Amino acid sequence: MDEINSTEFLKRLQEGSLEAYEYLVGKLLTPLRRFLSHTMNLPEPDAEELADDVFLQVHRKIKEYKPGPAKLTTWIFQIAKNQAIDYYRKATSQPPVSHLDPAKLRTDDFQYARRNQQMLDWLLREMQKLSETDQHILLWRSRDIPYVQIAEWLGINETAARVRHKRATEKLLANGGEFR
Amino acid sequence: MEQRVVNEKDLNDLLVWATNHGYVELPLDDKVVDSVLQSTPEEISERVKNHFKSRLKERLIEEAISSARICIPWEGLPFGRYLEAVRSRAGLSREVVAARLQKTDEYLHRIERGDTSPVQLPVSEIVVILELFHIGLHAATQMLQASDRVSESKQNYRAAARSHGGVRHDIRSEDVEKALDAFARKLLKNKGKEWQSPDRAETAGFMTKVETELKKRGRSDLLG
Repeated sequence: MDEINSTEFLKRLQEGSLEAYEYLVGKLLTPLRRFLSHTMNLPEPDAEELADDVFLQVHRKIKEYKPGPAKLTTWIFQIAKNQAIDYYRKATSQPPVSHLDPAKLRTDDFQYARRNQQMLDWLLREMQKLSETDQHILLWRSRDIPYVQIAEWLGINETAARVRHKRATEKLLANGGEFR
Repeated sequence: MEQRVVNEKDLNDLLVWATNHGYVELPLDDKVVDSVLQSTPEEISERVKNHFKSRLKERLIEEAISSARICIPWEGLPFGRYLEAVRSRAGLSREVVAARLQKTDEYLHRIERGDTSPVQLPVSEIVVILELFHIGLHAATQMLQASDRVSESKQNYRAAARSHGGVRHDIRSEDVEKALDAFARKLLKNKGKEWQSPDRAETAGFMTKVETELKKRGRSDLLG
């Protein structure tokens, strides 16, 4: 990936070189599709289509990218993440709250009419009280990322990641979380 | 509605939902992405990758043409010269666009230069060009008529040039040919309305077939 993150390659992309885009597809298609399906939990066919759109978005926005804050590969994955967010926002249906059986609520049934908006507000409020590291641990664990991997990303050891996750969860659940 | 207490599973579901919908930022930084790239997932086959590459290439060409054509006014331009102007503005080589049309470089060159009149081509081939360059029926008709007028005008100049010892048009350089085109258009313009050569019935008949083909393909966006 060093070549992709080089100044020379960026220049070729910004000049619209078709060969450069083909090279990008060759290198990033597999990891992007995997990220979209395994980490962002998109169904496989949708992950495939969205991966396609990511490269088109890269082409449209490449002149906005400035080296420094993040590598080009990171910037491209952020585009992929945003594409996934757009996908979910379009796909969410809004059934009335009264038609939902709370016992059967699942992630994709969440809709934010009165009660669920309260839950979201509660979550956003309580998350702010946690350290950034604890927030990151919670977010990645919710996606079943192994502790050992999270620990590596955050520069802590695995045991610390497990303990901090447990404590952060207990703290959140202890602070209210009752909704009508 | 009964009271609902959030448990650990709910919390996880809520976190996933909130990050999927952008309410909470999923922390993607260089370290995370580098490790995603370094992990060795099952590779997609070369055949699938090549399919994606081709598809992306097609879409990039279409986007480049779409952006370029906004900057090129078609009024008064012969059809081939318009294609060339848009292609050039889009930064695309003739080879790339010809390949996109599944034709040779020479095929496109002859159309751009005006050596092949579009009305001599099969209707299906012209329609593919109209679709790629997003040229509506009205604009296409006007440009084909402009092509006819310029072509007639050039015939006279070529005959005059040859009689004075000039070279044949097929061995004349590209720059000279373009200059002759521009000269012919300018002279036509200067002659004004009283010198509009009649629009060929052949062109009108051809465009009727083009219109039928566009309708068959559901391209109502190009019928205007």
